[in-house]
Amino acid sequence: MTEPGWTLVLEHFQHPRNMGCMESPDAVSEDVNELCGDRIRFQLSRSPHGVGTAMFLGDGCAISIATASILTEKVTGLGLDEVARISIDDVIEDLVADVKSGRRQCVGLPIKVLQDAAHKLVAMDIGK
Amino acid sequence: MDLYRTIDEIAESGRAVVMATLVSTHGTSPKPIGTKMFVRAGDGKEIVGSVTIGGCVDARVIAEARSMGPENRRKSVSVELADDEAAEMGLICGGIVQVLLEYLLTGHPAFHTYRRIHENLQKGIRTLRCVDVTGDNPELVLTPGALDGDEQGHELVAELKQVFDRGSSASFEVCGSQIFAELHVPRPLLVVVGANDVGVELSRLGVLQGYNVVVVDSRPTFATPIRFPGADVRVGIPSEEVAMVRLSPTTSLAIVVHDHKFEVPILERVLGTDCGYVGLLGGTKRTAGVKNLLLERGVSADSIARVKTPIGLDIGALTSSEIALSILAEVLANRRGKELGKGRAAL
Repeated sequence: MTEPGWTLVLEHFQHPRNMGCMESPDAVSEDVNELCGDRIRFQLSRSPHGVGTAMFLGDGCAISIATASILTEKVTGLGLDEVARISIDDVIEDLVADVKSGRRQCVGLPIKVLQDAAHKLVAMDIGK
Repeated sequence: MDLYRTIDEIAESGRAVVMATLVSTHGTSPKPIGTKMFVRAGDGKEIVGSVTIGGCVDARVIAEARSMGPENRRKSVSVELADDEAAEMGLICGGIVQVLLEYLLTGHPAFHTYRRIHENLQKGIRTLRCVDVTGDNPELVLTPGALDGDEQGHELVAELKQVFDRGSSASFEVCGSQIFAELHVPRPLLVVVGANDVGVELSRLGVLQGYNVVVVDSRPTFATPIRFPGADVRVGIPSEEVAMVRLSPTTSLAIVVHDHKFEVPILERVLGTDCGYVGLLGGTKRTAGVKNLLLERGVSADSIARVKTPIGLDIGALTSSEIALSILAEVLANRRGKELGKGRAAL
């Protein structure tokens, strides 16, 4: 797997960013890929403009962990509508990796979990 | 036999039952002291358990039990594990066993005692039931903490402390009385990571063997109470779920998930604890890869060497249930402190 294009994936897999527990998250979401067992949890804090900070926990393949890691950096300070628009192709581009079609769900799972959490932040706003 | 459930059922039934306990042996006997048999009082026609292996000694105990009643609530009998014919053929265990018989009827303090012991065990507290075998002194229930602060060095306290230290029931003489100290310990914990076929079989065997079984997997479709009856099923991020289990020297952890993305983070956490047994399912090449990943993450080679792999005793296991059997056998051998078989490679 160590070929040009996987460097960033391996870097984020071996040294994931923002992996851990947030003390008082404003939104939490977790999901699993039932077939392969990858499981990711995202915790978000709210800021006036959207996402304050993001942290994640999970056990999963290199692609899913790297995706979660890079997403925590990508969404910090981002507006909630921008978070909702993040696509699998966007993240694959950020990862600079050749992700085959059979592995797209490894990227898709962390995005889905993140967007579920962001949706909860939106719901919080609506509830106010 | 689930001792505590059996005693609860007897208490609820209101029937008179004789509880026979093996309290001492001289020479060899097939079962350890503390082994119990329950015999319906009067006709002795309902029997649960055995104090030896169902031979002449049990027959004698049953006969004695039939003769007991409310006026004769406790007695001790000694029986030789032999008869002439068996001796002629060399078919003897050769020991003498002493069995304590207690007539239990509604209101007997033993019912409350065993309920209390069961509650303690569920909190992880070892507990002693002390019975005066040859006298009328009331029974005592003691935990290790109760024996602290014995500044006068009472002989009885010293003996009871030794029972806790040795980890097994014992009979001894103090001040002219024979005391049987019956030690109860919490069920050993077996953590199974991986809700696959091997996990199913291992959990089933573990529950059958009296372990508290915890099954961990990330997938709710696979990790269900229906697939794992009797086990505590935990669905979540596996490394996080394992980290929440109280691992100790009496815990056995079998990682049968067969995927490094779960194995590596779990091993990284577990190898820093004093978990008693850590086994990893996998072939030599793959587990060597797991070892390298652990080394890259800074886990020491000494810690990694604790991991038993290939997991399980070498009994030629092929099917999931056979593999599970080999794993549980290895777990038991580890618990009993036996040397494992040759050909075992450290990870």
